[in-house]
Amino acid sequence: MEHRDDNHYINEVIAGKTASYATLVDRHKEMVFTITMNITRNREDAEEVAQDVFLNAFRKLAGFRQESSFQTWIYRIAYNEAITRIRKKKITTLDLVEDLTGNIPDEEVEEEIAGLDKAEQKQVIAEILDILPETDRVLVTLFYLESHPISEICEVTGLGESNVKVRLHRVRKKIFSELQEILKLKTLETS
Amino acid sequence: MENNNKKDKIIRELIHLKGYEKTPDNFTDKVMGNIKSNPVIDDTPLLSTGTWIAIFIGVAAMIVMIFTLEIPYFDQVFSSSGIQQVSMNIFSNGFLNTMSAFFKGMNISSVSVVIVAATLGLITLERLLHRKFSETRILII
Repeated sequence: MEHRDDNHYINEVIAGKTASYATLVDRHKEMVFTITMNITRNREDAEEVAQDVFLNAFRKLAGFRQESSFQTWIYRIAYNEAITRIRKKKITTLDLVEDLTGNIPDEEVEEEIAGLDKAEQKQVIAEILDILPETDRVLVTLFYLESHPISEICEVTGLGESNVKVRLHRVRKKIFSELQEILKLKTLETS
Repeated sequence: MENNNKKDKIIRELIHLKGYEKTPDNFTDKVMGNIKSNPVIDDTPLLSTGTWIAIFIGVAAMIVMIFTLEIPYFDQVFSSSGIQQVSMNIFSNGFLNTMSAFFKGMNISSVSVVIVAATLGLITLERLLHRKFSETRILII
């Protein structure tokens, strides 16, 4: 099947071919759901928010200016909808409270991780992401999973460039120190 | 810097291993079902009732001003087309005289015609724009 860009399907939807919207949903649903999960931390809420995101995006599609990326636009809607949802539900999330200092030296972390099987590695990163504030989880996902440039991350989150850079720097430090801590505990468990 | 790059590499690998959150199988179908079952027609008028009231009050005030104040400018404007004087003095002639003069004025004055035409034009424009926007929404659906 011929691969066409998002704007092609957007134009089809605007012209009345509603079914073309399914292609856009299929293309972006996983990242939208990942963003809503990052923020709500609950599958049911995340799915509900993600559904609303696509419904609202459909309603606003005629007003979408195609000079910007549909992907960034819908991620921004997802981010805002999810933030609004947790504010309504008054879900409080943990902040970065302390900077744990691990005993595993930086240079040994890679080696230690390689010693874990894939399932353990997934569990470790899931645990670490779980303690991060919601915005930081979104930043990590956009930056490390989809390699978005800082400018696009700013567009999605509405944060300033320097703010995003500082947050990414801190979150990198935090993830790494948590990683060292978890690896240290695992080493102690096995010894 | 090199240390940060190494940390980034490790984190990136772990994040990729974790990957995306998986949506339920019927996610897209549910979205499309929601779209079909929620007709998206925006019935909100372009101008609210309050705005319309304000417009009518404004138009009424304009009419009163035009018919009560002596505005030589109007005479100058319409003099070439042979239109008679358009103002009238409500307060000195009493209410009945004023009303009769008002309706009389409505019949003969071009200014009155312009005012009525402008009002009708605004209403028509609002209706046309409203219909146009509604049609666009329906097309999307």
